[in-house]
Amino acid sequence: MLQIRLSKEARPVKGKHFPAPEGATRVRKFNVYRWDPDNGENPRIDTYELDLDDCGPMVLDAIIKIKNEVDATLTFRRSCREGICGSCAMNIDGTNTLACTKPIEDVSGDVVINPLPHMPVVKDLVPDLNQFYRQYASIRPWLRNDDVPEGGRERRQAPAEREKLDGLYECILCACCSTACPSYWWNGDKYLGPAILLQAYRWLADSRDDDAEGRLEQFEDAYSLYRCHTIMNCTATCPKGLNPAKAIAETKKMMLARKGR
Amino acid sequence: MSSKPDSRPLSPYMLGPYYRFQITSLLSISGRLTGLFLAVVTLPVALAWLLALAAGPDSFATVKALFSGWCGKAVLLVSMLCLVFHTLNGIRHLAWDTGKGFEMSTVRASGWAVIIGTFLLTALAWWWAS
Repeated sequence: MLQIRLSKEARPVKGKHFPAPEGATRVRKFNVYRWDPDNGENPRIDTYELDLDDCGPMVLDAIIKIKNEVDATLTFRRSCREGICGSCAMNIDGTNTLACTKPIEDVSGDVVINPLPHMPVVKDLVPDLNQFYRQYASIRPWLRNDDVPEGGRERRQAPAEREKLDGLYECILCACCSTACPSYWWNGDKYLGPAILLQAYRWLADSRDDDAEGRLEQFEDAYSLYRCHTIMNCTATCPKGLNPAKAIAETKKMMLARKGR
Repeated sequence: MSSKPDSRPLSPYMLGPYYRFQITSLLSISGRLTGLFLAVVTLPVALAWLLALAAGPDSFATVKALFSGWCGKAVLLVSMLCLVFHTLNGIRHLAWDTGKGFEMSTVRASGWAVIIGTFLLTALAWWWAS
């Protein structure tokens, strides 16, 4: 459903202000989205002033500092702090990325931090990713091959075949791309979105997989795959430098070749 | 959990205030808007012109006078910009449909080529026609 504006209850209002500590030398403002499920109020934008001379270099360092030293109620997901777990995906300075690999210095002016766009908010910067995970499960993301491997042990792959998985297997399912996609905003219930489609192509491109037919058959409707209109926000925002739009284009080509048979 | 899932607010998302406009989304939405303009304004205008021509010299002169004014010229200029943009951006989409031009550097370059080409070709056509 194409909804241009946030509903009245979802619109953020001005929140609290936490001034910089006295004697701060390099002050930067962090405007952070807050929503508390327990008080029935609108989301609000709290402003935290931090001294960058007393803070790590990444946006994640800043919000961890806020939670530890300024406001313990701030809620967000984080784990590996090195761009491999995908937990701290959020909207920073107007684009989706991982807080742990986003240098504060890359942002000019106030650092604006919102949850991943167009997702139900569980609390503060924590979005509800259930639909995203259900969609991932729907593509049955595992090797489908009923043949017994040669020698009965492993399915061998030539280096050239293995190379086809480069740029695909690195996806950490952080959901930055899918939640950057306007098509996914409007049709996220039926359109699978760039992350899941890249994952699907990861199996389509795998020489060991034997069910391309079944995988493609799943996309024979107007929404699952074809709601991609090549806007390219996904590729522009991927914090791992991957190319979901290209994977989707390759899948569309496979669909066409399949029709032609 | 104290809160029912359906009471959860939707996180902010709109292009512009919350999601930064980039050349990707900007050209995508421009493609839609120019297509809309071509269908709703340019096509009826072109049809009216043809019908006026078919109806005889008097009606054609009336329509011609209408499009010689600044308002008529503005409609023609915007139509021209939309037509050129929509065509160039369409070629870009055709290339994408063949799986080519997906590197971000290429996407940005082809995007700027479409923008610059739109103004250049429109100016050229305008100069040639006047």
